[in-house]
Amino acid sequence: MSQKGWIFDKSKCVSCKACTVACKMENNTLTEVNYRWVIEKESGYYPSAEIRFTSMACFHCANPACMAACPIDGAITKDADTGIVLIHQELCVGCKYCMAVCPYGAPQFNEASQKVEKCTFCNQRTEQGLLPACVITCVGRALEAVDDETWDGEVPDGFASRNMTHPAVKFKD
Amino acid sequence: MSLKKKNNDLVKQALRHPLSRRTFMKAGAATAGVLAAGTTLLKPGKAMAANDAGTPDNLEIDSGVDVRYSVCLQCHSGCGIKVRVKDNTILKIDGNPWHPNCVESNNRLLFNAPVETGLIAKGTVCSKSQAGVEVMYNPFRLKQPLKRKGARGSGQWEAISWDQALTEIADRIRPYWKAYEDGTNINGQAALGTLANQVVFSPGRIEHGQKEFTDRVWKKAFGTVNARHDHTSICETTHHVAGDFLTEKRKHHFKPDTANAEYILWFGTNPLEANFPGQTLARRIASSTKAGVKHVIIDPRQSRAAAFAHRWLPVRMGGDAALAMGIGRRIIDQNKHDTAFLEAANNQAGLATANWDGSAKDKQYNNTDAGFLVVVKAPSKGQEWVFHKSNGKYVVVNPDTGAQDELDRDKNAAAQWGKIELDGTEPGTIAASTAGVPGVGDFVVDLGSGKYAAPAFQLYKARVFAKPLSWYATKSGIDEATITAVADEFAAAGRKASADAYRGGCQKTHGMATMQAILVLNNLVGNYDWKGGYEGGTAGHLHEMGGHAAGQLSLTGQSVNGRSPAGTVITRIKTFFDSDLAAALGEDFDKPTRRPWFPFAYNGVYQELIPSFEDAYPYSVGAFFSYWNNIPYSTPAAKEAAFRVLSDESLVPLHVNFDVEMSEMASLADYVLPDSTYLERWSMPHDSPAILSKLSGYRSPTAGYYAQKGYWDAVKNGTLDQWNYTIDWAKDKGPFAIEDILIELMSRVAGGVNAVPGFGDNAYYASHADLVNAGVSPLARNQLKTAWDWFWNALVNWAVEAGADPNDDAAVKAMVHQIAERGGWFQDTSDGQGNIINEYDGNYVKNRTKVGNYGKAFHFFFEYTYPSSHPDKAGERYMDPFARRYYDPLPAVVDHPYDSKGNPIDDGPDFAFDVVTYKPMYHAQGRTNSLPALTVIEPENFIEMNKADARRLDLWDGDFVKLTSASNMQGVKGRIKVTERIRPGVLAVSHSRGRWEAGSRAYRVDGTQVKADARRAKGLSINPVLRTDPVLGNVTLQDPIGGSASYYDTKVRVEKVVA
Repeated sequence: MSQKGWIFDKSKCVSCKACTVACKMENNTLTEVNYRWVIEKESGYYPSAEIRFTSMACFHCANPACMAACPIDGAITKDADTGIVLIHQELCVGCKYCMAVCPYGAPQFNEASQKVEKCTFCNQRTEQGLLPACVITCVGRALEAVDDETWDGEVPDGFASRNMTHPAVKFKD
Repeated sequence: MSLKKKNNDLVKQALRHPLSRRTFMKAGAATAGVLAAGTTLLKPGKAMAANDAGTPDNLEIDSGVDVRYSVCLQCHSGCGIKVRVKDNTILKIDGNPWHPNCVESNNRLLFNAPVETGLIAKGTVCSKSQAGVEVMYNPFRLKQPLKRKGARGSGQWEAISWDQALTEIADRIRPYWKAYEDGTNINGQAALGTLANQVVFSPGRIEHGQKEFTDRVWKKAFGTVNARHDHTSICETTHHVAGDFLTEKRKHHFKPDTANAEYILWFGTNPLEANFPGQTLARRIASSTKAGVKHVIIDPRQSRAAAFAHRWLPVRMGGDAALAMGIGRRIIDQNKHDTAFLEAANNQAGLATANWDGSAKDKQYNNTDAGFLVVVKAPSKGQEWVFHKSNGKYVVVNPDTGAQDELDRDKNAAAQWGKIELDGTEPGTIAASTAGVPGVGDFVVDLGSGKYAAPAFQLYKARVFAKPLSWYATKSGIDEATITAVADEFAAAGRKASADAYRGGCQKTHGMATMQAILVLNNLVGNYDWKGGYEGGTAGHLHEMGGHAAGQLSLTGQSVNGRSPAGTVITRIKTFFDSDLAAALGEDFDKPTRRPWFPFAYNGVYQELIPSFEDAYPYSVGAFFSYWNNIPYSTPAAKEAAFRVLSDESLVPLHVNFDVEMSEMASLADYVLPDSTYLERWSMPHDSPAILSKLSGYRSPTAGYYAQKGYWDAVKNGTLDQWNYTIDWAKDKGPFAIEDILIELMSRVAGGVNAVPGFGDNAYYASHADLVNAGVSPLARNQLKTAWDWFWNALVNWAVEAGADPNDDAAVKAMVHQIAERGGWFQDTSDGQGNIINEYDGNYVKNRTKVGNYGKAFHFFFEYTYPSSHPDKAGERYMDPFARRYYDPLPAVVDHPYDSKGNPIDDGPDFAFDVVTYKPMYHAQGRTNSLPALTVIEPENFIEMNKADARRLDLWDGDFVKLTSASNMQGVKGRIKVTERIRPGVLAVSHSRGRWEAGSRAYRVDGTQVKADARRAKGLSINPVLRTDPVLGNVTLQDPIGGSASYYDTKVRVEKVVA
């Protein structure tokens, strides 16, 4: 099987949030639900303070904690061909266990449906050979969606260890 | 802090938002008929999705989905958009893969690439542009004209038909229209013009194509000089005016060639987020940083651009000029300025590759005024600090012979050079001290009759050398070692260094002096038109208004019976006060005027409009038409005055507003006419000089009324030449383009469209045959009865300039359709093999400023003089008739902001904090506050404060404080956000939030309440607290020269309060 995932170039993200909004517009999420978001991390002291940006979403982990924690059979699946992790709305009971265990905060609770949802890797697009909405619009060209990759390497400061769930993301500088 | 925790915080914050797409629909449904929601305007898929996990949009490749290309208008960048549409509903917006803002030069689609190739090609847009869908389906959109019930501003409205609205408004303004014909002047004074001038049109944001159209309506059809008071002066107008003085009006807007620069000083601009094109600069700043380009961010607030900065210089408020002059001093002190460039005094000298002494020099497409003699002392003050002219020509001191040469500025004239500093060996020079002229350098030319002169560069040098570097360090707040290092790095990068500035450089009372101080750094290194340098000739475009190619129709010049209004513009821009005006106004030419005059504010003084209404100076207003205009919210210190003036019918008898929702301005109108969004109409925006190639973006109705009328069928079928529509004003709801509304209004004023000057069946020539005989493409329409009649002609103008033979109808039609299909005309920037073309020409950019070619120069010295036509002071140094003072023609450090009389303002130690305003990338104009996808990113804005200040005042994140100023003790409240990324003593507040209308306050239509959305009231706007001019009392502080409203001169007091 292949494992779809993200390559994120930290030196190119401009924190414009286009990925966040593109995702919302493509997938028509509730205003309050963002499948992708940008974290801004401040460090240091005036006048040498700094800010760094990281775009986050579901990393469609090799060992998804959400899937392991889900009490409903088949409500969270990992596709054998693509590695995409999906929460099936017709089965989800909204218990939020997945939200509690995900090291990255990917699952989002939908107050309207009382269920949990998250990034689908724009499954409906990628299966047609189209790119995910966030990647198309990435202003800094920092974000790539790739089919297969050795998902290893350094992670940003504060990012949960790869060893926990083996996220399909690679960070470049 | 872990990444996860932060995310949870964000989600929690987000969940506090009460309004979802679903409740949006409910909010709208309550007032169906008035608001757009609940009708065909609503994007059905989006609303239904609320119950479920995201129900994704149809794909761009699905059947039944159309992909239409147009141009965004969420900010001024003009990025191309690719709009996915199904059943006249906009599903999704992406970047246009043909548009240079959206794709880098080597990856863009070629203009001739089939339109289908755009379907899956990548193009980017920012978050604001992505959220454009919510502009379209904003549940608070107005759908029907509203007429005020009760007092202005009372929030009571009656929904009326377009028919009724246009008839009533026409009746009200017809007397002014007739007065033009009758020649009835205001107060009987020809200098003020006819009563038609009392009808004022003020579009806050209006685009090319529309600008010229509305000018045609208000000037040619109606006959008022008050045709277009737009928002530029609350944006960055002094930046343009300084550019005009820098280049003798050759070009007023420059941008660094970010992709190929080595070193860029960004003064008071937030180039990653709020400059334009925002996304393009952001992408280039990130990628160029990676490639080793050094960006220096000069801003008291560390903008996000600082994430990519080589240095962040947290300059003192108002210290930009000091920093720039310190850098200039150091460069000259180290002899790192480009003397060969500066000595070249005309075009051929610039172009020469050998200097006057035979030494090798670089070919330069430009030259400067460095060697031009300036009169520094004369028997009368009016003759001082102007260029010395001999037989009407500038004079330079020949560096070879020392002789004083008249300068021939013809582009083909023999090369001439001017000595940039005098050393006393030249004939006719004497020591400045002997001449009694201090501060101008060591020697001056004795012109006889008590007149002395010196070269402009010498004056600049004397000015920057008047103070030591330590003084500049103190004034700028940047230490000497850093100034030295920055200056050395800048000079070392030479032609690949540039100094750019935007709002922070110019939106203050000393904006011109500051902009000048910054811009002349580019003169020192001679970077203009160089690859990697500072570019002004770029982003050329086709001329939609004609006049540039055979076969074009001059849409602005040509008209049948068009009126040509005369008189004085109500804001007194571009007008030199003279004795005729003094007599007309009952004033004395030698005494201070009642309000300031703005002869150099070429782009308007938006903030003066309402205060001028209040003072009826130079005359009172009769009818005020505001379009996409939100002076009360967006203009500094305008809230109170707007309430006071606009709610007073004796001051403003009629106020008609066009808006998409109930804005602060709309709330103070008699009639509010629903506007179409940028996704539903036409315009022809120009791009930023950051784009090196030529292009013309074409904004067209991707959905809405005109799309439903078959516009896109005509595009597909190649029949745009035949397409048109008729509006039934009794039945059709729109939303209509302002062009159609104004044509109908004027038609009702005049009694039929053929009675409207410059409109109707024969608008441009007496007949279509005459139009053809004049050499215009026969496809051009001679009629002007709809918006499309206008934009069709503009497209024909583009097509023939783009190369279609005007006599070959098929070729013109084909080109028009190719443009319409792609959302514009785009010069290719690659050869299809990945090689860049059309951007560079060796070491230079291809599209150049070339001031010398136009007989002009880049200036150190900004000459403020009366024109030669002035009846009283022809050619003399200009004196501000209100302040009765002269302007400084050289860069200067001004310690304090000053009032309109030129007196420094010091509000005392009680008001201890400076304030900066800014725009994050996910907001731009005030309107983005209405888009939940953007406001959810940061549910409210904050008062950002340095941690040291916060600790001293015992303030913590989320604490409520009140900010007051000397002119607004009522103040505004907001919450504190503590940060290390701001200079101590400075507060930052972002724009777009803290609105008090626009859906944040309820109002009533026909007795039914339109409920407010609490989320829209979140956060704060600092504008109401910004400092009022203490002399005038009813207007913000402003730059008297460029006309900019001041955003950066106010001192505030911070007071902890309970929420």
